[in-house]
Amino acid sequence: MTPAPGFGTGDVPPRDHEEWRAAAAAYALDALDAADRKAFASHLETCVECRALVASYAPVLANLGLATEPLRPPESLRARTLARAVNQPRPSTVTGRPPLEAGAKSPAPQPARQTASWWLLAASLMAAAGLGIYAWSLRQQVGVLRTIVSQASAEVQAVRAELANVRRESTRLGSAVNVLSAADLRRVDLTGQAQASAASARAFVSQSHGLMFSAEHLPALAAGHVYQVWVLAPTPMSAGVVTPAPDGTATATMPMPNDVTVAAITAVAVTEEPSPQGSLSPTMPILLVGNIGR
Amino acid sequence: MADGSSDALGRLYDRYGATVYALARRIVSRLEDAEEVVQDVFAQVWRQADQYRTDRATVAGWIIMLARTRAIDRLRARRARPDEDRGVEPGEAVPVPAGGPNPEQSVLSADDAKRVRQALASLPDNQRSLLEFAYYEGLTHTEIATKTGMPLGTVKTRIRAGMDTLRGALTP
Repeated sequence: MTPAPGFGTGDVPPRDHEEWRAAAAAYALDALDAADRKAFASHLETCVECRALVASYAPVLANLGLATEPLRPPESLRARTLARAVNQPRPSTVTGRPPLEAGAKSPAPQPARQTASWWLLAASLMAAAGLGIYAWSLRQQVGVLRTIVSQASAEVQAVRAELANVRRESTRLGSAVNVLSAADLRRVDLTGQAQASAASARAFVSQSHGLMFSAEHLPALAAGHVYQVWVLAPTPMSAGVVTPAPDGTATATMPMPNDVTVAAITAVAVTEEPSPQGSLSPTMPILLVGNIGR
Repeated sequence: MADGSSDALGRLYDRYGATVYALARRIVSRLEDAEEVVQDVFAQVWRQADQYRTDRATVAGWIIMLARTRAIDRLRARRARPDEDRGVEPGEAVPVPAGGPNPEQSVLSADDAKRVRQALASLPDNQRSLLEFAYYEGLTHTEIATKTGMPLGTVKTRIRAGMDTLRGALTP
């Protein structure tokens, strides 16, 4: 990460974004030291907020200059200034022109284009004289406000996404609570088998509220696979699939399979199956299994 | 110029020349340097006229920012070669040349210019002076801290506070 400005040696990492924000006014003023200025310029390439902040100071800088009490320059300066400007080598201003071939003749000067751009500029000058610097300030402010609105919209989207996550989590936890508080709750402890010998899990089964499954130390799955939970009644019936977290834990609530009664369940088992739906029947080997107590 | 383009440049000079010159004098002090800045600015305006974007700044804002940048560049170059500097020290009073102020050439209206000056004057002294060191003398944070003997953090905080106050006062 690029170090934030204002730390002297520049080798102290930024503490937070406020460090960059705090440097924006100085950057606009060109008052940062060279290393800090370079770091801030690099930061600006990726930070729309700081670009807007720097732009917000532009009216201040322009106003300070424009408010300087005018001084009548020497009379000769006008002629010298105009002569120097118009006699300097004119850059090639036509964009999109292919580079000249070696030895090719230079194109003729393009006075018509120069004239056109100057008349445009003269027109802008007249407009500027009418509007005044505060109109410019207003445009700058509008630009900043647009940026802020854009950022606010992005934040609203992020908050909405977070809210949706919270709602999903709330629903999931509500389902788990319903299962765990059911009057007809039965607990099944599952132990790991084969390559999942270190894993363990519990299933809480309720006829009225479904099944809650919780496991630890599950091995990482092959790509495109999920764990599938089965209730044996005694025929294996799929209760649902679950994908473990990177730490090997998994929690899920599932409805009781159709036409299955808790009384008929003899065991709960887990196998590894293709995602996303799992399989119609278990693929061997069984990775976790537990018999239901009577 | 027969094609009329130098007329446009002449009108720009007539409109903004006095303000550019005044700002240059305020920053570089030396008469010959100020005149060089004026010539540099309008030469740059001439070269870059077709790069000027009306959606970014007014002509006035564009020209005045060019003027400050060129003046600060020249001032810093002078500072780097102190042996050649025999002129008025930056920050000293600049004598008004013959002819005096030229109010009719002011870019801002009298009310707007007054408003800007009042906003600057309303800052606490310890903010305004630091801001002026940066704006008119082109000093960096570190240079201002060295010059004033203030802690670097204090300099940063006060300049930022001053800029924020002016922004609030000078934007609608």
